Amino acid sequence: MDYRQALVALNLIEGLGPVRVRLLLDHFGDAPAALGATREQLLQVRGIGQETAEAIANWEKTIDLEAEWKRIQEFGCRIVALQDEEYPALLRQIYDPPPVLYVKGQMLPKDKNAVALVGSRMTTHYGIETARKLGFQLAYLGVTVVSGGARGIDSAAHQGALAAKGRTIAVLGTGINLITPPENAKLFEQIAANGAVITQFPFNRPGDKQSFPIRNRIIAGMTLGTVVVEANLTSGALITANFANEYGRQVFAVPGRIDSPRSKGCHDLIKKGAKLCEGAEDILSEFEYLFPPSNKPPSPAETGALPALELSEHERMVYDTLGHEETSIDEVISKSGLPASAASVTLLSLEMKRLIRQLPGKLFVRNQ
Amino acid sequence: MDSRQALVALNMIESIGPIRARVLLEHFGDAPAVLRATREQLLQARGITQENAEAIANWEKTIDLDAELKRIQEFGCRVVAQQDEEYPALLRQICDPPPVLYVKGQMLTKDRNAVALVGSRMTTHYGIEAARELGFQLAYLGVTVVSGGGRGIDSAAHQGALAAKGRTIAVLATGLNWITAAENAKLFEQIVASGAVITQFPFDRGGDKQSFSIRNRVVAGMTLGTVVVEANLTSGALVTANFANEYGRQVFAVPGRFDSPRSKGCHYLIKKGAKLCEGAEDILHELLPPKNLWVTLP
Repeated sequence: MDYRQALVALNLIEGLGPVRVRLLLDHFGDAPAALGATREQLLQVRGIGQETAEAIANWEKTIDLEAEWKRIQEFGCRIVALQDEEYPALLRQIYDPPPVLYVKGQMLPKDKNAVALVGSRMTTHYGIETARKLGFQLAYLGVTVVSGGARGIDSAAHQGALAAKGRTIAVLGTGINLITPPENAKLFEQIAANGAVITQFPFNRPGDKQSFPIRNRIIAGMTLGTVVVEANLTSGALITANFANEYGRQVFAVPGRIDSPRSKGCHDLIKKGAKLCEGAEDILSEFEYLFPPSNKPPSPAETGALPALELSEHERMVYDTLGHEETSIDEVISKSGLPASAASVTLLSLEMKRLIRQLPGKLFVRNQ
Repeated sequence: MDSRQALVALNMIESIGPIRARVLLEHFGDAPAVLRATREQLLQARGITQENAEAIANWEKTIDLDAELKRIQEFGCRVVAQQDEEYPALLRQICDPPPVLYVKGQMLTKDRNAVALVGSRMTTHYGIEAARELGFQLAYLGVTVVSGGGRGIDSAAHQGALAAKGRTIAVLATGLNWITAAENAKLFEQIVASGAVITQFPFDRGGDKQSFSIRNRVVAGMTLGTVVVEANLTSGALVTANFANEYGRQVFAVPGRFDSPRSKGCHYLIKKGAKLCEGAEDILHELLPPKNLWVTLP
């Protein structure tokens, strides 16, 4: 049994968290020795009680290591242990790093330039847009985007990074074989191909109230800073921000409208000292020392120049009524002054030209 | 000629700003003495140039004080001088308070609990809503809402305060008779009835780049704090925020969407250390000692 297998076994023992695993490793030298120890030897370790000692001494009766190992191989993931080079360097610096990570995909040395984008599962269109845009900008500039792979902001952040053909890592709050939410199966495949899907939980561990905060620790721990894109006052994203703060990492928050409850969490963070973030620039300016000058955000002159649009008169009238905020079809009709039929035909043709998008509820926004 | 009339005359001399006026008053004791002084005596005052001395010594030739006093009466406004009790107490504390204010309406003692709401003239629907909401909340809680009476955010802030039947003061960048935003005539009437419309400029003075900036000083100077509701990066509201900062008053900014250029000025202020403001609570929390926070928000 090598140290990786032994660590997997230790990680499978319930009631044994990262801090106590580290105590055991410090005491016995390595994982196989800890597993081979007798009950009496185990009891000499600081913080190990009767119950835990019992559980470790009898691990072979309760844990089916071989089955887990087989599942790991069949699933096509790998085990990365704390002492492996692939283990995220920043994560190793926190006081309770998980002893093993289940990794599907690849973590590269450059992933140490990682920033977390987090937020609520329930979001507004604004939040999704923002997450996607920030994910894109950061990934485009060579920063690895880390998020939780959940619905809402998380998914949008990963998608943004993927759209920029950049790197992204999803940290799950469940076993790696449980895909939550189920509609993200395709997304996880893409993430594994352009980064990694990782978790500290063994196979078949479902997500619960406990596992998500533990996941949030990893997200905050393995990144240089955490950006809260959109969060209400009870969102788990605020927990991630708290951990980031605890680990001495920078916290950013994206502002929103003051009448939107979904931005209240962000505003609260800014009031408490988080940095207001309007774009990747604000994030990178904080970590300037890490990035060579060529990684500076492109100036508006380089990226902002849109090719001249060739629009018909009607198209121009309708396009001018739209902005980055949702506009209803009624507003488009009244603002453009076109008859309803002409307006909807024109909206369709603009949509075909990919200049605008239709949102649920006959709402329209510009594409960039 | 009493000292108030002399101050009006002094205020009408274009090259004499608040700081020179104060130097002269300190040197000669009172305003009538300044106006009586000879060219040579005037030159002895610190910072007074040949040109200034000339203008003051010959004031009777260039300034029609009687006409101005008559217009003040006809217009139904009053002149409040720095030594008057009605003069805003906070404004008296800054380094360059205007020597006189033309006041239409009434300034009360409780108006020292004043907060400025400022922002761009060009706004979004969101900015207007936010200004009206904040104006309402503050006025409802007994805070006097001070703004510039301009289009956009200013008007919305005044309207919000009026809707709450609270007090509000408009500080103009022009003479009182010169209503910059003609559509605001009705609004000004209402403000006069529930507070005051004030200015430091004599009648017929038009608004220009300089006068707006001077007005912004007064707005920042007479309030406990300045809230920038919506401003782009070139808005005059940032000038007001700067003055507030200079006078040691708290600066607040209302955030908006990160992709809205009309909120960029506010976000810039927050990054520089202004307090993020989501509602009247955030403002009162900063300005009042907690024990006075007996009010509950509507």
